[in-house]
Amino acid sequence: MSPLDDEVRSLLQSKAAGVDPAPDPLGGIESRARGLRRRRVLTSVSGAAAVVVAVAVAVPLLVSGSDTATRQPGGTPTPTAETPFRPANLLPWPRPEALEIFGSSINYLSPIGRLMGEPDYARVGYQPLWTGSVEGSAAVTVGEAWKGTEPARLVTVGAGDQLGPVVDPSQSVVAFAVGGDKGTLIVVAAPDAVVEYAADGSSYQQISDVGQAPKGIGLVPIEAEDPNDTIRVTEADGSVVVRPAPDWTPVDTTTPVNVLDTWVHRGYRQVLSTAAVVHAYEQATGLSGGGQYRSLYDGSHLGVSFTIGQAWTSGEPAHTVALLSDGTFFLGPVTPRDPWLLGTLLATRHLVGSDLLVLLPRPGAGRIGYSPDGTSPFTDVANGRSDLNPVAVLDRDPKATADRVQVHRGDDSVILTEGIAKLTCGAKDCG
Amino acid sequence: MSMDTAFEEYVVARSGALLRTAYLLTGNRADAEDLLQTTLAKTYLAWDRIREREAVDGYVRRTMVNTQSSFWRRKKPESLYDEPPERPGRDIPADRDLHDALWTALARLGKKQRAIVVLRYYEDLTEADTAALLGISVGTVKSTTSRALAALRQDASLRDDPRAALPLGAQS
Repeated sequence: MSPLDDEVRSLLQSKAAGVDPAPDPLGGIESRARGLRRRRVLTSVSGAAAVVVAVAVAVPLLVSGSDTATRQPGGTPTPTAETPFRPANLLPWPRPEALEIFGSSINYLSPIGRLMGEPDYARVGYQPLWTGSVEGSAAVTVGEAWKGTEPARLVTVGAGDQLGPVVDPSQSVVAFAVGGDKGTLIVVAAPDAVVEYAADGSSYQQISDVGQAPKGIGLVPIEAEDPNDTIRVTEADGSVVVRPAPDWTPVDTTTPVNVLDTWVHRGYRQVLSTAAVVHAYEQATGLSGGGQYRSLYDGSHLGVSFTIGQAWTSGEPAHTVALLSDGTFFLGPVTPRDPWLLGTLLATRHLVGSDLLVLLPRPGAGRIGYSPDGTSPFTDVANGRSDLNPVAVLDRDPKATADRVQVHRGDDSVILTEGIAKLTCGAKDCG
Repeated sequence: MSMDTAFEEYVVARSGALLRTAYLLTGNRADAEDLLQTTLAKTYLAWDRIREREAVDGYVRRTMVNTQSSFWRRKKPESLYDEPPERPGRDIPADRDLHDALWTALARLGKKQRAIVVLRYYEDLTEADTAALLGISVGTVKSTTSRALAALRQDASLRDDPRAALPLGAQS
């Protein structure tokens, strides 16, 4: 007898599987959006008096820094309430106006949430210390982030996302080194402080209040091999703080030799973000630094988008990977050099009783045959759709163990016969 | 108002899956399409502020559940199902399929209970993710899930079914 929750799960999946997609999913959205917008305008006009009262109450709360004050920098587009808690260890130099550079708080709160292990960005608290552009990155923010009632930690997003240590309010300087193949040192001090930098530890040059660096913020390009470089901060009361500059290691941007750069991209335009694939890849492998992804095929199956390609981190070989829009991730083995066929296998809740098998042959290959049990004859599985040909997207029986695939050349001679299990084994199984 | 290409791609790619979720929340096709269209219209208005595409699904789910809550306030639950749920106490046909009985019982759950059941058992969200999405505590998710399953087990549709003595499974 199955547990009730298994029955509920089975019921919901079977009921959902019987729902056919709407014939015109885009139809009516624009007109309904116009209606909603009109309604919001009317509501905001009639509620204007109430807004005035609310602002009059809210401003003193925010200025006083009360623990009950609610902040939402950048206008998070979330219908739920955000974290009202403010840790006691926050530094007193927030510059919230600078966050406009990101356009929306989701652009920095989401990666901060990932760094902190909090998938719901609306639950992340953030106080920016500095936001601007550095070489190699259009938008970087340095600040303090927290989740729940934990103390704030330093964090930087935009040029190699980093989670720093717990904020120490007794420190009068926050320094981050950011960048990919080119680095920038960012020093955040009190708004009236003068920041200087010395590559050799003695020849100081002012790096705040010059160029794009405002008062209290120091910006300087750095080299990885500066073991003696130091930061000097002179505060308004004349006190001086000298600290070693943080280390920075350039990211190796060399493309691994097993990247299939001669394979053209096939399928639809990539919908899933490269950042999402790289994040999933780094989570699955434990590797980090200079993560990159190259899509080879993008498609959609039963309303779920997916992308298949290669992911790698700095100095490491590329793996065959796939990501579905529901978050299901496939980490395949290290991609062979110039293979005839790549295969990915995804067990997703959107399919009931089957897994999603995608077979991606080398461009120019001929037809693909599939035998579900290894003994029955091969039948052609790559359909004739121009966006798929000759890619095969199959619902595979999860219990299949002996199924095989056969790839033909353009002249129809067989070039490869391979077991699906071997082709799609995960990185941890196949090395 | 011309539609953003990325938004169009998102809708084309995800509307099928989203409609299935909407169907499970509402119980019938017409209201599911209505709920999905309203949800996507709200998403469209917020689209420029949602630049990180991987976060869109979470936003849409949250909007859908919140919108459905307001639908619930406007409509009687009985009007929400393709087949009106039976009143408690009616005889259960001997050949009734367990799924049919469960579906009927689900229709009688409260709005929060049903949403949590769908998020936990169809969307496969963890308790923490469900709590974050609904803006409630993990403890509330746990207790509501537990009460929903208990209500299903005690529902008249299942009470007389020999399979109604189903044990509660792991509540992870």
